Amino acid sequence: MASRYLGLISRQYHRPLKACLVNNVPICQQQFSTTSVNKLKEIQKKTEGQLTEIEGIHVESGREGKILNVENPQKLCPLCPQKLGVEVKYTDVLILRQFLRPDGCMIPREVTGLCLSAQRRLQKLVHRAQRSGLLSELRPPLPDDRQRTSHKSNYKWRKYNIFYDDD
Amino acid sequence: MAHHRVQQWATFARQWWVYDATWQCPFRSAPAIIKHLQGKHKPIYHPTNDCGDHVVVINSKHIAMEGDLWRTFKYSHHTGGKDSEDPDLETFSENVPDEILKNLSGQIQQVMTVPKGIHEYTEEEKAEFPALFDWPQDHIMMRSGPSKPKQ
Repeated sequence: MASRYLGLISRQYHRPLKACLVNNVPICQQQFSTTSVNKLKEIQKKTEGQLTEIEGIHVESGREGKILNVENPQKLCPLCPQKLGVEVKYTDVLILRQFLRPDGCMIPREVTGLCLSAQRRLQKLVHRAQRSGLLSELRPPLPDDRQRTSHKSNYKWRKYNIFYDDD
Repeated sequence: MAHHRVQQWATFARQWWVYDATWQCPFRSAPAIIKHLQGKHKPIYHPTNDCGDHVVVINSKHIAMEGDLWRTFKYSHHTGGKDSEDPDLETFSENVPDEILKNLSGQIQQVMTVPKGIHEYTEEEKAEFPALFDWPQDHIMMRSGPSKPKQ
């Protein structure tokens, strides 16, 4: 039975979009448009009675004139030492925070444009910066709306300073 | 014409040095401190010559150890007795008396650079720092803030 239903569903999805009509109203209405470069989309939700509108509005990225301007004919990734001239260390927290969300998660490399090896290396650097307490602001909130009293844990050996040297 | 009179006096006197141990590896700062304690930084050094200086190490509570060493390192201090154990490294905080601080005349250079955490930067410094990449076209940003904790 399950396979029969699955077949039905898949056949339905294989149809072109125009044919997906229920009572002459299209189920899925997608509109494609092009926008100028470096614009973000912000999703806004409006509710008026029983009607809810969800809309994607273009917003400026807030990074105009702040992008590092380096000649890059080879199209190297943003963290490439060949492009920057220096190798990023775990103590360069102002660089690391650009690749992190407010709760400390890493942004996927499809968004940041990093190559795979740079993403792996960044993962290591972020881990080290977190362990040595340098990224204390970028952490997930505690449950039950509890507030952190210090930027470091008070647990046994974790309250001491840590450094890493082999990079 | 400089006669280096004061330098000569200081060489034959006992100087007082200060060493700030914040974020310094104890194993690496030891050679820098030993040099001043033994007087090897002086041209008149000789093993039989008592020409060492005094060193005051401050902020020793905030020293740093590499990687996992705070958890794994054992300070080799056992007496050889049956119940003797190697203790963990611990830090203590005590205020340096003013009588000692008055004598200080020089500072030993730190062996490691002190890292700066993200909570020590101001909002302006964070905003002015150049960005390495721009958001891609049609990227949907989460403006709702950090994610909620798992219940």
